[in-house]
Amino acid sequence: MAEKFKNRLIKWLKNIFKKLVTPEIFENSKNRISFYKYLLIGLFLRFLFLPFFFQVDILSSYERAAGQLFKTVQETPPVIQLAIHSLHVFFLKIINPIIPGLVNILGISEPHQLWLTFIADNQVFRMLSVMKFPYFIFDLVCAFLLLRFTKDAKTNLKVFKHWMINPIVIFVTFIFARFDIIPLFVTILALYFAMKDRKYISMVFLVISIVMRFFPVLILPFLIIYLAKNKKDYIIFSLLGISGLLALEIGSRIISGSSALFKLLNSQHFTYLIALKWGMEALHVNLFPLVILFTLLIIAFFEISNKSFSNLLKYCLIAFLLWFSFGYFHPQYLLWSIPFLIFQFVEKDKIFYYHLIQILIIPFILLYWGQLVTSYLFAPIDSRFFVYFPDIVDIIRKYYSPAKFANIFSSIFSGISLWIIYEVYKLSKIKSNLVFNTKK
Amino acid sequence: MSNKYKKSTNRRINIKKRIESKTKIKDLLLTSLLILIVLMITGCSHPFYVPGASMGYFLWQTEDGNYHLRWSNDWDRNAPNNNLRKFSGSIKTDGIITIKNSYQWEGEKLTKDIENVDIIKVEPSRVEFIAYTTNLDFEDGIDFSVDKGTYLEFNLKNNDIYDLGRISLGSFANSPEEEIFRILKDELLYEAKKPFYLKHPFSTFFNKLSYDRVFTNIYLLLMGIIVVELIRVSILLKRKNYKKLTYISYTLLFLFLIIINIMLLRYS
Repeated sequence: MAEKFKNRLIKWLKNIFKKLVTPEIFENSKNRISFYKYLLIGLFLRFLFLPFFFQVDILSSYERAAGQLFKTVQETPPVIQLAIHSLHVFFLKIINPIIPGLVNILGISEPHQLWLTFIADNQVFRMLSVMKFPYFIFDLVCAFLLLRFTKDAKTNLKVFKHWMINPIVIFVTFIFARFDIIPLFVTILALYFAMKDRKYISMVFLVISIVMRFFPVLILPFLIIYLAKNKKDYIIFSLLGISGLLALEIGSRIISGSSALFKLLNSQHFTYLIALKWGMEALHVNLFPLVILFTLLIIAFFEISNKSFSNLLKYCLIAFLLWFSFGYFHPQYLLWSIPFLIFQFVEKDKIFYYHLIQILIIPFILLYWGQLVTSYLFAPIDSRFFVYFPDIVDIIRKYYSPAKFANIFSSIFSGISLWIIYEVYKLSKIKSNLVFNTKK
Repeated sequence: MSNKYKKSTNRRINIKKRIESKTKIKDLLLTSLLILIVLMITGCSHPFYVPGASMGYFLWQTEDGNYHLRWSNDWDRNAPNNNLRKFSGSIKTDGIITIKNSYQWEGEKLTKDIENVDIIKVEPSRVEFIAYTTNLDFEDGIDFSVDKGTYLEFNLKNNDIYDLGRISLGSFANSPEEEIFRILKDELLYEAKKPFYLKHPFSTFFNKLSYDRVFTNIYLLLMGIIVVELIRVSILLKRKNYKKLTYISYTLLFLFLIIINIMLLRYS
């Protein structure tokens, strides 16, 4: 009897693993071992940073959630943040019984005092682990979803490996501790359904991700062009795409009585995209290079005959890289390019090495934000040590202008991004060696 | 035939060169790691600070018995009066203080050029000082010795208020608990000689780990399992006595956890 039960359990578990890691990987012992190795290395890297580092924004997200959950703050957050805010309220509901002390800390209304109390707490590692755990789950789900994009198990494994060990994924999600991984997961889901030719579901997911974090709006035109087969499709998908923003606007008018879209247009998020401009002599007229190039890119994708899924990923990547080349961005936004980039790494090794150089440059670009994204990240380890640790920007200032210093590295970063765009564009002109799981 | 021989010889030379360069890189990495470990264990002889980037008081003692007190200001473009900051205080002892050196002191002789003059008053058992720093003059200090004294009492203010977090005694972030604090003879020498794990940031890090032992055990167990599994899949799987080695690895992991727990118990 016991033997029978054991056999059934093993069979059931095997079936689950098979579905989780795909049959192609599960049934081949070599692939299975490679997958297990990448998973273990990825987990090791994530757990290495998960309890010990964070940037203050995660605390603000949970503080707002605590405000609503325990009715300490009556104010409703702006509609643009509502989706992510609601998710944090949900996470906090689950977390709260595990660490009751967290609520007392989150109840501190003065932000600086809240941060100081949090980092000095003796249970800060436990709190950070639990607070970041939902991000970890979304990160893993992204990895497993990416494992299903191509028909070749070896390619899927390479994609999985590049996601699990990518320093930007690890930095943004586990050191910087930003929630971008959640809307990114929804975006990857939209791409997955686009690949499977599930047009409407794909559009709905992309709209949800735009509502969550605005930036996926950059890939909206490409997805519409990829999915639409005729004029009617173009109209429906465009309306669907706009519907999310419209829902946001109507919701905002009802809930807070103010416009969400104009708030968005006036917000930093939008300003980041058009920060660079070409001014005209003695005129008030400015041209935005990013908008010009972005328009060109949309037309180029519209005009090419080979609107394959592979090319969709390439054009989406180019859109993000154009932003990183010609616009202002926060370090966590780099995460948005990774799912698109890793497919290019598999196609052409060279791109991976250029990306590696970019990763080496990122620490220098971080200087723009000073202690907030450098020494303060380590503050949970020893609050007194890292709060009073000299600002690296001040150290550089002794020898050279820190702004110029960061600008030089930022320009190198842009240069490499442009070269990657060129490499990816060249790849888009030839037949891709990746066979995606499309229905076409 | 000779061509083939040449090709194979060249290939062998290339492989040899590659192995040699790899060994060199390994050696370099190992040496740097060793230097880093030695530096961490021995530690610095004085608190870490960067004049013009660090803010606060930094006090240390050298082997010759002399004390060194420095105050430094960090750079702030937007601060009023070119980031003018007043460092003032007093040092008292039951012995006799001798000032050995005024470090970058803008003394009374220069009053014509400087608006805020650094002033120091020296009595046999007491020193009082008022000094100013700005974005241009970001560091001052004094070097002194104490004869026949058993203690030193400090009263250090930063812009006329106490900021204890910004006073480092012997090593960075080793701050006093009280506004007017005493240090015993050679106490700072002992502080500087402490092993790295008893100094900041390691001391606080280990303290937090020992406080939350449930978290620490779960965390180390998880990380341990990941490492053992990685070793098992990458190395042990190819070995003949694979099962035995796996059992040994897991036993070692549990032994390691027990040792860590004993260490944490002692630490807390």
